[in-house]
Parts: sequence; structure tokens; C-alpha cells
Amino acid sequence: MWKFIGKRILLMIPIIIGVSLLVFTILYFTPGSPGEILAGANPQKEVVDQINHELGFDRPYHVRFFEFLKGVVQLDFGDSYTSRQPVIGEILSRFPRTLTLAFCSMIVTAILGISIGILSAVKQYSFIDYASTVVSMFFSSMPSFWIGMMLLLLIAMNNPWFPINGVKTWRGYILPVIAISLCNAAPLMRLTRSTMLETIRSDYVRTAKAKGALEKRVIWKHAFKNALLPVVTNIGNNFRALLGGSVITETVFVIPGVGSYVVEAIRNKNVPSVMGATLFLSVTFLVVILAVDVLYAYIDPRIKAKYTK
Amino acid sequence: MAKHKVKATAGGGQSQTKEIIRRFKKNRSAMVGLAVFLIICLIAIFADVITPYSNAIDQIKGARLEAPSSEHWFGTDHLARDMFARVIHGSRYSVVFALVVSACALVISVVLGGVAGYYGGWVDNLIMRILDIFMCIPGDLLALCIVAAFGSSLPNLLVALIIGRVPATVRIVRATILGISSADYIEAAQCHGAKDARIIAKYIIPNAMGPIIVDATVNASRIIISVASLSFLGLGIQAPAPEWGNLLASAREYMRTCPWLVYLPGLALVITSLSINMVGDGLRDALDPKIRD
Repeated sequence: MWKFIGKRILLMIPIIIGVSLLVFTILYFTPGSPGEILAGANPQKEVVDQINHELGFDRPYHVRFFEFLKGVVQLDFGDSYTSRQPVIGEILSRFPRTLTLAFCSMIVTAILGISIGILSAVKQYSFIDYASTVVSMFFSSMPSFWIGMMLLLLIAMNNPWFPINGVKTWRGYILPVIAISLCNAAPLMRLTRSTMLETIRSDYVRTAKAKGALEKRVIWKHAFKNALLPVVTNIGNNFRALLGGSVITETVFVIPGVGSYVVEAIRNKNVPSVMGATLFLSVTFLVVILAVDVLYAYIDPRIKAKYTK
Repeated sequence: MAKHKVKATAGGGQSQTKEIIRRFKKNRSAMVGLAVFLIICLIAIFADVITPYSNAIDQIKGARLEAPSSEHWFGTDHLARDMFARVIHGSRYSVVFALVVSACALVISVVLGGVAGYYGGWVDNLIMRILDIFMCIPGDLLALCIVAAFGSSLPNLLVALIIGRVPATVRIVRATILGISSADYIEAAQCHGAKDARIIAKYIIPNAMGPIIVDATVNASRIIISVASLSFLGLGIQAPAPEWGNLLASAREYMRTCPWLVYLPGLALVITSLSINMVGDGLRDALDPKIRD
């Protein structure tokens, strides 16, 4: 098992280099130079050139890329153009909020999506099944930022218990988590429903029923465990959407997390911050995917056998 | 995927297409979705006939932040512009983006996924590893980076959204084609000495089209949300263009006093995306009736 985890971590290295190359190349084309941003209004050309030279901005593409990569290895993404502080420090101080938001949303999404999905599969064609299918269809068509605005409008503005912005107390997380979870739970519910329906119709479930096993036992012991695999994959992949979605939800609820940091940095053409934060979120996602793969082994002994071989 | 294989071996041909259309027509929610989407397309095409574009841009003197009335059906915004005209003209952006981006992403993905799935080996490895890198960057963040670097002009936005959609679609295309190319009838065609190009055009693409088209519809509804999200962040379609995300972004400050500024563009967005999702769902059921019963 450890060998497998070690192998997977080694495999992450080329992907991280690839992501660095991709992000660096895209942002390489950003018009303007750091000198123009840092030198203030109406800068002299000499001052601009001076700053660019100091930051190494006038060197060729490949030199700058390797310099950036060297920094990434040492967890140094350079200094932010606007605050002149190290980017990594700014990201780390904001990351706990983004992680809390994404993690809570993931849990709420999983609980909502899986439980309603199983319920509507078990009671197929019942009122609950139809109602949850229709409701999930609605929510999967809604942009999370609009749900966020509606929650603010309908709940937070009439109810001082919910803060309108910021996350100074834990209460500030409730509405953003609901906004993200409703969007993500809808597709998860549909997936759980269809995989459960497929599993319920499989031969071994019929055998279990024929044996006279209790309905409850058949659902939880036989069907659920086998239907869980694609659902766990989806939750893992959802984390990517959660991290990306945090960009917009953090803006709606004015949460100072990594997402709103990126948006602000993009508006200011603050290239090192955009690069650093994008890379940071991508690596976070890779770690989550690794965790999901390890989790597989615990759910499915067949996969574990493959790993330990 | 296993199911599609079963469907594929059952054979393509005219009768099956007819059968799929018949099943789709029987699905009431899919037909409603299709009708609503067509109406939205008509609104987008004839937006200028319904109300001239100048109404969406020009300011009306002394009519700032007015509630919906018989004169201004959807009220007016903070710059005294008629919201009805703005919402109507906003449909153009969403419909055009949804159709253009999902069509382009579809074509690129079919080529890349087809090559990867059919040929396998190092070509497959190369394409998929490169896409793995794209898949690592969360959600719309890649599109945001592209817009940040190249500016948020219309073509750049289109390219950014297409790049954002392609990796996931290629995976689906590849998985579908992988399933089909190991089918017996492909081997039979190869034994007959059919050329690769003929096998791909004649046997693989027609059989793979089902799941790929379903994915394209799902993509279309996501793209509508993505465009609105980017504009909401101020990095998509630039103001004063009446894009729905833009309308919602400028409504944020006046949410408390003028809630209609939030409700109406949002509802337009939800109805459009919902109608496409309903069509996609109907298509999925029509192509794969096993899920239903």
C-alpha cells in the first residue's frame, strides 16, 4: 500500500511541472510589465526598465520559467506586485478559509446527494423520486453565485443572525456552504440514483433477495457498497469544481480566501499571485485525488489486491 | 459505458435513429425543454424586433431604479436603463456562446478523443497526459487565467471557454470510442480490409455519436453558467453589454432595495440552462432506454 502511495506521489511531479509550464506560459503573455505596475503613475522609462531588470523580467522565456520552477520547488512563488509580500505567505494565510468552505461543502454535498439519491432509487417512481429528480434538475441549472445572491436576499437580509459578508464567525460559512452544496448535490444525487438502480438490478442483489435477506440489509450491505465507487470518484472530481467554484462564491459572500485573492490579482494584473494561487489550488486538487484513490482501496478489496501485488 | 456498447452492437442505421426520435418525442419534459429553448433562440434572433438594442443601452431620464411597471416591464437599473430590453438582448450572448462553444469543443474533442481511443499506444498516452495537466486546474480558473493574460475580448473568451471544456469531453469521447473499437463488427470490417478512415467515418462515429451528443448538451448548459460567472466577476463580457452575468453583478449593490434586478436576469439564466438540461436528459433516455425501466 505504501509503495503504491509513494509511486502516486512520484507521478504527481511531472504533472505539477506540466501545470507550472501551462500556467507560466499563459500568463507570460499578459500585457504590461511589473515595472509599469510598480513604478506608479506616469513612470519614467528608466525607472520601469530598472525595476524590470531587478525582477529579472527582461530575461528570456526559458530562463524565467526555470527560475519560476526553482522557486516552486522551494515553495517560493515570488513577491506579489501589489503588496510586495511573498505570494506563498499571502496564500497560506487565506487558504484555511477556502479549505473550510470546500471541505464543509463537500460533506454537505455528499450527505445530501447520496442520501436523496439512494432514497429515490429504492423508492423508484414514488412521489419522492419524482420530486427529487425535478428539484435536482432545477438546482443543477442554477449558477452557484445566483443561489448565493438569492440566499443573501431571502435569508440573510431579513435575519441578522446570518452575517451578510465575511466569515468572522462560523455562522458566516452556513450560507456559502448551502449555495455551493445545492449546486453540486444535484448531479451527485442523479449519479447515485442511476448507479444504485443499476446495482439493485444486478444478479448478486437478486440472489441476496432470493436468499431471503432483509430489504434493509440488501440495500446497505450488498447494493450500496458496490454502488459507492463511481459516487466516490464523483465526489473527488467535485472537489475540483468546489475549489474553482470557491472563486465565485467567495466573491459573492466577500470571504477573503484564495479564490477572491485570484480574482483580485487578475484585476490588478498581479501575475505572481495569479500563478502562485492557481498552482497552489491545482496541487491541492491533486492531493485530494490521491486521497480518493487511497480511499478506493478501502472500499473495494479488488482494487486493494491490485495495489498490493 | 457498458450499455452503449450493447446498443452499438445492435447496429446503427435509419430505423434506430427513427426509434430514438420516437422515444424523444414521447418524453414530455424533453419536448417542453426543446420548445422553451427554441423560444429563447427566437427571442435571441429577433431581439431587435422585440425591442431595439438602443433601449438596452440608452438611459431614460428620471427613471432610475424603478420597480416593474406597465411602462418598464422588468423595471430599470441603477443607470436608468430598461431592464426588459437588457434581459432580452442578454439572451444573445448566452445562446451564441452555448452553441458556438459546445460545437467547437465537440469537434475538437471528437478529433482528439477519436485519435486517442482508436489508435491507442503512445498517441493516446501523449494526448491524455497533456489533458491530465489541463484537468488539474480547478474549474473556471483556467479560463480566468487565459482571460487575464490575453484580455477579455469576445474571441479570447470563446477560446478560453473551449479550452476549459475540451479535456473532460475528450475523456468521454475516448472512453466511448474505446468501447466501440474493441467490438466484433469493427474487427470484421478490419478483416475485410476496410481502411482506417472508412472504419472511423462509417462505423465508429455513427455508433459513438449518442453519448457524445448528450455530453454536448450538458456542456451547453454549463457554458451558459460559465459565461455568466466570468462576467459576474467582471472578467467576461464587458459592461455596458447586457450580458446576464453583468446584470447580476451590477445588481449586487442594489439588492436590498431593488430585488427584481436580481430575480429577473437570474430567472432568465436558470430557464435557459434548465431547458437545455431537459433536452439533454430526454436525449439520454431516448438513446439509452434501459435506465428508464
